[in-house]
Amino acid sequence: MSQLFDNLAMGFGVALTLKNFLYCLLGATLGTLVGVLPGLGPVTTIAMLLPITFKISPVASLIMLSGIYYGAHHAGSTTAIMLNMPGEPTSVVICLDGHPMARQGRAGAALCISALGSFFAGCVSVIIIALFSPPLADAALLFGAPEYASMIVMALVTASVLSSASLLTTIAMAVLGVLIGTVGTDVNSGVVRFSFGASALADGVNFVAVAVGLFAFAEVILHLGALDQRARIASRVRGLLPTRADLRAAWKAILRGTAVGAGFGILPGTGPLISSFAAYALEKQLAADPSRFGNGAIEGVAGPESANNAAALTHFIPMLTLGIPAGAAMALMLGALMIQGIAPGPQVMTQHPDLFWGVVASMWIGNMMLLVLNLPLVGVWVKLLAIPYRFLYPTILVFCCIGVYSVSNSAFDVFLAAGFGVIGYVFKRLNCAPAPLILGLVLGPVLEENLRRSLLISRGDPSVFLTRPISLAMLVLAVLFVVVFSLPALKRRRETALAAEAVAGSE
Amino acid sequence: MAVRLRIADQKEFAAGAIFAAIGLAGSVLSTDYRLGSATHMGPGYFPLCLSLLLAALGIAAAARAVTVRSAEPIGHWPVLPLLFVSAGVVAFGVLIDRKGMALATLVLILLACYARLRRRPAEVAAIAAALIALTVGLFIYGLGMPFYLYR
Repeated sequence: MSQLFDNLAMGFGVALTLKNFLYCLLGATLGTLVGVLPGLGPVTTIAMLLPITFKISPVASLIMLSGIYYGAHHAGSTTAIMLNMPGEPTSVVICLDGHPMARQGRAGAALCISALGSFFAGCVSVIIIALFSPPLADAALLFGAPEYASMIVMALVTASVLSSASLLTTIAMAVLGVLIGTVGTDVNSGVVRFSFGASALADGVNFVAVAVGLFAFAEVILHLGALDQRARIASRVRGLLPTRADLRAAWKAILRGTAVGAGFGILPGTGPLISSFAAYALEKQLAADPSRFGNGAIEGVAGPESANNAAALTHFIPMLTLGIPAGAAMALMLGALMIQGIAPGPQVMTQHPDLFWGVVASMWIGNMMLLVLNLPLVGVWVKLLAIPYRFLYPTILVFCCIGVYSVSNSAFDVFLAAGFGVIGYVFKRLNCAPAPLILGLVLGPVLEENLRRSLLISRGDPSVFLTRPISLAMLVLAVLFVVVFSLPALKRRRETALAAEAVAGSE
Repeated sequence: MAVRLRIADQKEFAAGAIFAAIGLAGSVLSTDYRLGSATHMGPGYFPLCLSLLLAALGIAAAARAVTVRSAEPIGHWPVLPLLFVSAGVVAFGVLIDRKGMALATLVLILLACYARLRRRPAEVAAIAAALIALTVGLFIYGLGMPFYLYR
């Protein structure tokens, strides 16, 4: 226990330096901005800002990028409540009861409860991260090569299952990502693979170029092709405080939502998205009068919003403790760390404790900042929604191009990014999620390394993955996930959730 | 006797076909490298396994797309945004080394704003001016990045 306090004290010491504090503020503000603006998501923004992170310290980069991530999740509900337009896919559920509340003149109460619920969920999640990460990392230190390989397979499979309704093509995307990751110099033999004579490929495919192309460029192309939809109703915020009845009704929903979100967020894939839907379904099931839902039930806002924020934070746990990214945004952050020379994994906590605890402390600070950013400044954000996409996307394109070029002053990387923009667009049109691809790209080399080592240790015997208990458990879990989420009942729910995400994502 | 193959889920079929093709190509390319054995994996071993797996998944997806009931026609894809944005990015890559950042950014914006160019050229010009000023100020003067402004 005292060690926990020591670590947290160190973390706050790191997070409260002026530089890191400002980066936290920048990240939270950018995240709120991105969460409110349709057409720009946290993953695109993180991809766009990756090159800039190379100029600043790893701690500051991670603090800023994580601020963008959970800030966006926090802020997506603002537009959902005010304009019936979810800023983020995870906020779709908030529209259902949040907007009716706004139309009834209770926008202030809805916004306040959702901000309070998010803050509470954030605090709890930070505590969870602080409590459970060290034992998790300690357990992970017992992992050998077979366990790591199985864990990566499990992460890729689970992320695929939770990312899309069509299992085969999504796993194929992950495999494709791993395959792309083999381009470049093979560490063991020194042979350059798949370079087709281009010396620029000898070091492998530039991860930033792929990320920017797949997420930023493809998104822009998709949006330009979609029709313009402008939200008409903009209700004014009158009176920010909720009534005592509101608070009484909402606090239990906040607790339940936090629990649901914390649990689902750890799952690789779209855990955060599912968590808000699950929380809404739970509230509706447990309500004394389910017919209130859809007409402005405060629980329908408090529960999902808390789940949303809790999941956004626990989503970091696999990446920070095990080095396994649970989603596209995490994969990008992991990539940023790797390029800075920090090998992610359980040893990060012991070798770079300032990084880990600094980020954890900054999450709490960031949550406080978000409380301020989201409540008093609501009017500012709503006005910003008026920026038409045609001013936004050239800015995105320019920043992305300059960013990609600046990584190694290489025009080839820019061409690569353009190519992956086309690829990303084609795949998105064909209903193939790009997140597993980037996960595969990031995890591929680690997977190969561990597979090699496992087979070397076992002298070519593949059953080593099944005879070692932890490895077996991981693989069994992976199979279980596939089976459970392929069940018809859950499949329908997943498809609804993912269809909603598609609608929100194409705004 | 002709067998009419009605592909209901065209999107998945197309995706599966693409994966199968990439998998096949990957398998062929992987054999150019030494394969080794399971105990001592050569550089080609892992890519070969991946490519075969990819091809298998692609074929399975395509097969499923033929038999499944839900229809997902490919539909109409707007091609102009794809063409112009890609062209803009490629132009940026070509120009930035040879002609400097200002021109590269300008051409990128002009190509990306193709839709507005004819109707509202002044607006595009304003966006271009603002963005070039912003990025030059930020990257070259503010962050001191080693880019050529113009050549």
